[in-house]
Amino acid sequence: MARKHSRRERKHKHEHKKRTPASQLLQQGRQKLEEGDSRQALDYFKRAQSEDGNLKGLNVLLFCAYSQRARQLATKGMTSEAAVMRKLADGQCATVDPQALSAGDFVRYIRHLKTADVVQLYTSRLGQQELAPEVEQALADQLLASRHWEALAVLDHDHPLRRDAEVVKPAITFMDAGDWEQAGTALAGISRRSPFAPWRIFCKAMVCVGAGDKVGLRQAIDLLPKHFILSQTVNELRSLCAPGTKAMPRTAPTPVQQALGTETLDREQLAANLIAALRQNPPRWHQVERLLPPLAKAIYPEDPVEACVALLEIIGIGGRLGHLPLSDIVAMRRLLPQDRAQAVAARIELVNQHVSHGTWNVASAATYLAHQDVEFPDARQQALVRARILEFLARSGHTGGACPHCVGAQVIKTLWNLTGAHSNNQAMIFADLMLASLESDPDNREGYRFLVELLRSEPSTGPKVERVLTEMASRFRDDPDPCVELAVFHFSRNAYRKAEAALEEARRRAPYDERLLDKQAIGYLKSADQSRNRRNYALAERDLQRTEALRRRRLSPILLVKRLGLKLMCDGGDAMAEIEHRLSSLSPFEQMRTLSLLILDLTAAKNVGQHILASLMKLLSSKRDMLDQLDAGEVIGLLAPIDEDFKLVFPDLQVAPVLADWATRLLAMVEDDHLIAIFDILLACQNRSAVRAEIRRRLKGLATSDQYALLRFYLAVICHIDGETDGSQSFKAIVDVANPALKERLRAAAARLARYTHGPLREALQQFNFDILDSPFTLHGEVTQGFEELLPDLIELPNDISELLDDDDDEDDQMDELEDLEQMLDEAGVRGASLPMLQDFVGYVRSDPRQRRELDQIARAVEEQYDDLSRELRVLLFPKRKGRSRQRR
Amino acid sequence: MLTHYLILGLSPQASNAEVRQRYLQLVRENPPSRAPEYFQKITTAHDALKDERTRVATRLFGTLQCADLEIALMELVRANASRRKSPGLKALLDAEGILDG
Repeated sequence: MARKHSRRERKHKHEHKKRTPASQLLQQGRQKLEEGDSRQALDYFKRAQSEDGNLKGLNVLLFCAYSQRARQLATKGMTSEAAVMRKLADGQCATVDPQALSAGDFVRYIRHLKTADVVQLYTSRLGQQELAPEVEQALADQLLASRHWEALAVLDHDHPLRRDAEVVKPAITFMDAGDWEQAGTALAGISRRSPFAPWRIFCKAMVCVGAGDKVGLRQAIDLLPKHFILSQTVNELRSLCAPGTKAMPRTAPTPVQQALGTETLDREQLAANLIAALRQNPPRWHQVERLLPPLAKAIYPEDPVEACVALLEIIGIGGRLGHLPLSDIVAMRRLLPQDRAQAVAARIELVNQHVSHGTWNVASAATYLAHQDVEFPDARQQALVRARILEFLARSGHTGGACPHCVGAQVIKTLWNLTGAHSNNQAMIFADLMLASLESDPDNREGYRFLVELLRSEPSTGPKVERVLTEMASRFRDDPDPCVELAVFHFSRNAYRKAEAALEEARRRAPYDERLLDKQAIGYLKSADQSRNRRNYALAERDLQRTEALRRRRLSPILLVKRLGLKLMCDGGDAMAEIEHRLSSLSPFEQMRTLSLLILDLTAAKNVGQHILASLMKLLSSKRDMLDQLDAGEVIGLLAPIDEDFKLVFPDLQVAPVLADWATRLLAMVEDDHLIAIFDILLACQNRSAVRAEIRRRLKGLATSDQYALLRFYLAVICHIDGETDGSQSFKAIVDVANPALKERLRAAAARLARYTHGPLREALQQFNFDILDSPFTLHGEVTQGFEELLPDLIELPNDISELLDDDDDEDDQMDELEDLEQMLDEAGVRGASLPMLQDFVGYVRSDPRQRRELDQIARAVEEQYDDLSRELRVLLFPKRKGRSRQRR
Repeated sequence: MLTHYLILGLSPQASNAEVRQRYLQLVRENPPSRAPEYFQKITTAHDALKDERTRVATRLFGTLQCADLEIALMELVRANASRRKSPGLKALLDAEGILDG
């Protein structure tokens, strides 16, 4: 059957051949010659020859085809075959009459001659017939290819070829070096009619290739003449501009492709196919596995294994982002040699894992460190690798919210093996990791800083913090920062001599660092505070004078407050007149701000009579009429909290509560542009009522606008905190109809407001996803096993709390309530739980508005006993407060 | 990451001196005024490989800097090409088999 079919085909082909006239065969042959397909061209020409042996122009075309074929065979290394073709070409050449050739055929003809011969032929045609421009262009091409400029000597001096050759010669150097931009610049003097003009266009085309400018490349190629000498190059460049994706080529890249580097198209096509396979749902892993080896070889032929590792690492990003299952990516390790596979798989798993408070994979770190010598044979590098891996574990665990208390025994054991430290304090596992990391790489400056930050977050690690900072200071002798941190540490523990010594060392290391002078001044102020609290007013005065001697402009307002405070503590109410006199020279803003800070300072101080505070409040109230003189910036400045740098001398940085009575009036004074800043300040002080009232006032009569939506958003948050609303509806009504720009503003507002909330609302604001509010549960990432076990008990919990709480204010009953709440916490199984987990639990309990109000009521009643409550009960009753009581007793 | 090495045209075993030398050479050849994008790539690659500690960190955690798999993949694919210079005229003539006449 197949044999008959092919015979029929052959017969049909033969008859088709018979029907094609010789002239048409000739034309088809020319076409193939232009395309560089000399083999096919020869086939057409021979068929034409068999039709009509005397066909005009056939001999020159045969000559050109044989010559082209000879070149192509020579480039493939087939020298004997090329010689045969050359001989056939020479045979045809002898029969060619150059003077009788058409312009097109003449151009084809001279391509295969020596330059000197071409110039001779050209000059002989000069006098005999009108020359087409393409002839001169072909000659120009020939000259550039051969560089035989001396052949032009037979031409007149003002002949374009000879004249423009002087401009072209310097450009050739740039062309040969591949600097096409410079070459194009050098050819700028060539006119558009010059025979060399196509070369300027070609330079532009090559510049576009380098720049990836396909549009420019297309435009340039379209301007090149049909017979341009670098025809294959032009064809290849034309294919670069073709839209759409190419199928994977089945043949090896041609010499022109290799010269141009366009075989990268193969790499890019492979990569595109790989991406397409990964994008499928589920990903086509078989196809991925098939594509990786050739792509790796194309990317880095010197070491395809290394390239394959790099590709797997990159695909691992998909695992980290949650787009691809990490286990499937890791399974691709079968493409690697065995000794590499395990190490690479462990590294990809480690780097791309998603860390949450229940998920923290340390096993992959241990596996990698056991096999790291495959990738890092050098011992010094291995120490660095160990340090980096341990630091990465610490940082990823800490940042990802991994719960040290939730990790299992096996994880603890792995960590002990990694760090060599058998600490019983699970809260310190991140710090232990960092300590082990720094042992392997003691020159890791940022590692020390991170360790100090970790130690500070845990109580009773003071000596460790001091040791680490001292070590850091001795190792990095040019760095003032550890000395500054040591000074702050000593100041916080009232070790003033040590603090001053540390500051002196810091100043020695960085004599022009302004921050150090500020720190020193703050240290003196702190010392003054301590002295005045001990009624050692002379010492306090001395410290204030030392502060003044440092002349820190930034501290001037603080220094004034401390001076006035000391005056009042020394002289009592008699000093009020002097205080008023000192204030009168200040601007209205400065007067009100100073008084606010003074009240704040003396509220925290010891031995200050209530009558003094009352007098100061009265004095402040008397300034109320000056409010109208403040501009919007001053209003914000009046309410703004004190800078964090002054935390040592102002334990409570929030100033706005002192001015709570003025909040409404201050808010009314401010334009929309500054309103949100003040809202944020007041919300940080939990003054929601003023914010709510102002929002409601402004919403009346306000047209629908972005500001309107933002105010409604703030109001929705406040109403949710206060238990007036729940669920997602109030938020979705605003967010769902917002345009993209407004949505971004709302997202930013949500991120800021999250700080003042807790539980489900906090989670919803942080993620900007309010569906969470419709569910009673919200967790940091996945449900942990511990919390899952709690769930059946938690569902019953609200009823338990209702039974516990009643309206009786009797103190004994309050104690009973506290006992019952403590028992409830015992039964809920949250003792010793991590803070995130505890907050989730509290968020759940407090999600009921009635319960929240009742718990807040208890909290207000038992605030004095805050420090006596258990940790878990503190979080339940005072979810926003951090650590122990602010006021030391 | 291999991408950085390919951009600088170095092997992953390159030393501090080799990285530095290659960086300076590439920067001289590709100043920001002439090739701003390539200059940026060279500088980024150098910053990731300039000393042993950063090289180790890059090798281990370089992909953490990548926010998009597809972009990272295409950067790797094109990194080798980016250090390839444009071919010169002689190379093109030779590739086409155009003999010196």
